[in-house]
Amino acid sequence: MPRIVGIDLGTTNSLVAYVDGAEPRIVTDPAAGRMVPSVVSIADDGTIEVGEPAKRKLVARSQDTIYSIKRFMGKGWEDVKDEAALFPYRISAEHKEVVHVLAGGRAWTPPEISALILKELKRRADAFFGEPVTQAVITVPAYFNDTQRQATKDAGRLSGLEVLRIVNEPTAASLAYGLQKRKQGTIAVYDLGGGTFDVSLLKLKDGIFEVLATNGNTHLGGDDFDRRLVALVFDEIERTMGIDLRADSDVMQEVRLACEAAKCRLSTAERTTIEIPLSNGRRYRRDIGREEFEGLIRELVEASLGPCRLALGDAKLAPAQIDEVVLVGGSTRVPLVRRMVEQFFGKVPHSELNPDEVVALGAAIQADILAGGIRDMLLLDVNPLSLGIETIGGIVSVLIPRNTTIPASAKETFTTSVDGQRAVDIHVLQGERELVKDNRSLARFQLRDIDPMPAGLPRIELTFLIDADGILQVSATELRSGKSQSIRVTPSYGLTDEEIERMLADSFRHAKSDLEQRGLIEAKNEAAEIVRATEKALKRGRDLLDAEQISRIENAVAALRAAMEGTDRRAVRQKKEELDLATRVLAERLMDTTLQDALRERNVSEFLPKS
Amino acid sequence: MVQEGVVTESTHVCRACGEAAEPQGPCSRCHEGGGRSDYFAVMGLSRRLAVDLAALEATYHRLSREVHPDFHHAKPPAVRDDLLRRSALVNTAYRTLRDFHVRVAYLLELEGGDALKPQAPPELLENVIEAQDLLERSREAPPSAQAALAEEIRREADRFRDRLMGLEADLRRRAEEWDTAAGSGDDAFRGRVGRALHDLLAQRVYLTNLIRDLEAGTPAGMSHA
Repeated sequence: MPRIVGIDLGTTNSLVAYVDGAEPRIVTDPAAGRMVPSVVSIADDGTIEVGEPAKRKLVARSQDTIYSIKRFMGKGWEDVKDEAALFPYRISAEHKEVVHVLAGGRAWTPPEISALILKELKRRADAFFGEPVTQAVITVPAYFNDTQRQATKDAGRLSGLEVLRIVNEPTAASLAYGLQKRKQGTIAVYDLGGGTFDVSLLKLKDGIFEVLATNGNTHLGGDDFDRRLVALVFDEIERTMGIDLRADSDVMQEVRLACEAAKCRLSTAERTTIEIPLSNGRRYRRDIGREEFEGLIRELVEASLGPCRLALGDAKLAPAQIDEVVLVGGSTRVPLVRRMVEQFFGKVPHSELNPDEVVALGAAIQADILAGGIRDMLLLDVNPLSLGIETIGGIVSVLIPRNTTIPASAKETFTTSVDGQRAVDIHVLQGERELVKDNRSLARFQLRDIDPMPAGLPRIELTFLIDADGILQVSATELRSGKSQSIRVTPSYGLTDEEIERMLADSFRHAKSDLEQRGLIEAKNEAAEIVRATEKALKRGRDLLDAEQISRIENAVAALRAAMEGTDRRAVRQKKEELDLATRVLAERLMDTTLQDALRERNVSEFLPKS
Repeated sequence: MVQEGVVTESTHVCRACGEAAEPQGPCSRCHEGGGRSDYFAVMGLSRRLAVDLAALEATYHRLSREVHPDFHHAKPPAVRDDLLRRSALVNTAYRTLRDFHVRVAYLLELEGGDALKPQAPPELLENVIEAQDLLERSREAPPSAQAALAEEIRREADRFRDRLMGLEADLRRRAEEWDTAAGSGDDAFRGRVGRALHDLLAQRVYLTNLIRDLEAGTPAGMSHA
């Protein structure tokens, strides 16, 4: 049996785990312990340190020490430029399509930095097993999109690991809990990490872990709790001492770490003290109680409940129908988070397994399933965001809706619109909005080298397949010849996940105006169709109607045409329905004559136009 | 941008392997018979509308264990690729059959019922127009008249919800008739039942949209959501 390890590549900490017999365990390093801080420090001479040693450089070498790189995976400059100022390390504005971090005299992409963390995990695993580990399962937030998943796979490859599978973090956690408890029922996994939030609802039955729905926010986590405290500290320093220290990256880092530590202490203590040494012997010192801290972060915790509601809606479940709630991620140690989750679902959440380790343990179980070890458990996950293509009028036509069990596939046939056309462009999007401009562009495909044929004759079938990693594969076949069609793929970077979340949040807020726009376009298309059909039928059946009936239809057509000039969807729909009613008699009479003709068994050719 | 004038159309797909196929005759790829293999066949069911959901789920789990790529990681790439497609097909078959309304629409399509153009009764169309008028009036009404109109909208929504419940009951009854007719060989009766199911599904779309519009139109309508 091949050795495959499970890796939790976290925003704050990373771990590697394996299955020993039937038990998942964390790989421990005799000197450094269980977790590797996801921090990389790169000196001017190119020396690289990873984990604890790098974490110790966060303050002294704040510009060269990179943390929370996960936030930049699969992003372009446009996605991160607003946030870049919050990080003491330097992010290049030169590289547009993929974010680059500047350190040690060169530019690094997020997958390269992540690969350094993975290499450290691999080094530990190699030493632990006494032989090189080459294959791994790596976890990602369930709400990661296609590009972010691909970036994670790239990081694995760069580190010398073959990534056999990308697994969603909350689902991995459910595997660890499921293995331990051998339960049946519906469970909710609430996963609040350092930088990301996921909620997944699963049905456990006979060893099958079927995800019913997932939702989340890839920009919500413990980092945001820290930022609230950091803002408070800088405000107070400015007010009491009259100095603004926000631009000093070393002080910024010092304050961030002090606040993070205070946040952690407040999970067990009712009160704590934040103490920060400033320049020329001055100190910042203040007491803070748990209640005050909770006041600062309450709206952030509330923000996590929106995705919970949406996931429940998609799974068609009420909170009371959830049998168990599982807490995952270090930020679920915050008492307010526990209280609010308990209140929301109406039951005490589970946290028996260490929330920092449970995802890695689950990844190890999935690795063991792939290796052929565990045979009685199977994970059936879903795609977190709808996948669609652009159609005429800038509307997204959804091919695979969100929360569809993966692997999932959809087929669509395309043709040409101009004689001899050799290529067709297809634009693939991910997101929940009705219009192309509001969704994340995933890729553009060009079907090429189409045999020159009259317009509309080629029939090119595209198959969109989302694999078990949640990554899209596309293939194309020309249906007449059966030969596969060449595709050129241009992956698009462009929108932030924040935008995706905003899109998702907006899609519920803007659902109305979106629907209006889409509805109007569709209503006009339908109306045009009906006007055409009516005019054709009227030509054929004019003799069957009296003058009043004819004028009623003609008036209804005119009214519909007038409505089509405007922008009121309801008016178009209403006039269309009125025309439907007006033509009913005509439709019935045409049907009758056709039937009578058929009964008289007249030769069909009599009805065909003479040529 | 998708090029101007490019149209998309649905293709006939082999129900057994998910590959594109000619509408008639066996699939050239997996050699399954054109008419015989479908999502029902994939799940080992005969073409009936009554489905034992617990048994369907058990079949889904069994098939998933057989074809899911996770259990075949050591196999050659071509086999894994094939399993990936089969796994996607099993997922689609389960998703289609587990939901009653999706199942009815799918079976009607399978039996050639999609050639029928669904018709909503004129009286329902009139109701739709009236309800839209009501919403229109409410949007334009002065604040003093809002409460009364909101109440009227709520009553209308309740009325249509009752009607939807009746329609759901009709659908279930017709579905039973369809299954009974399936064994009887009475094709004419079956055709009529199919037609009725088809129209009921179309009316259901009208009704649910109407109820949604009415609920969105009442300020307190959110409570029904």
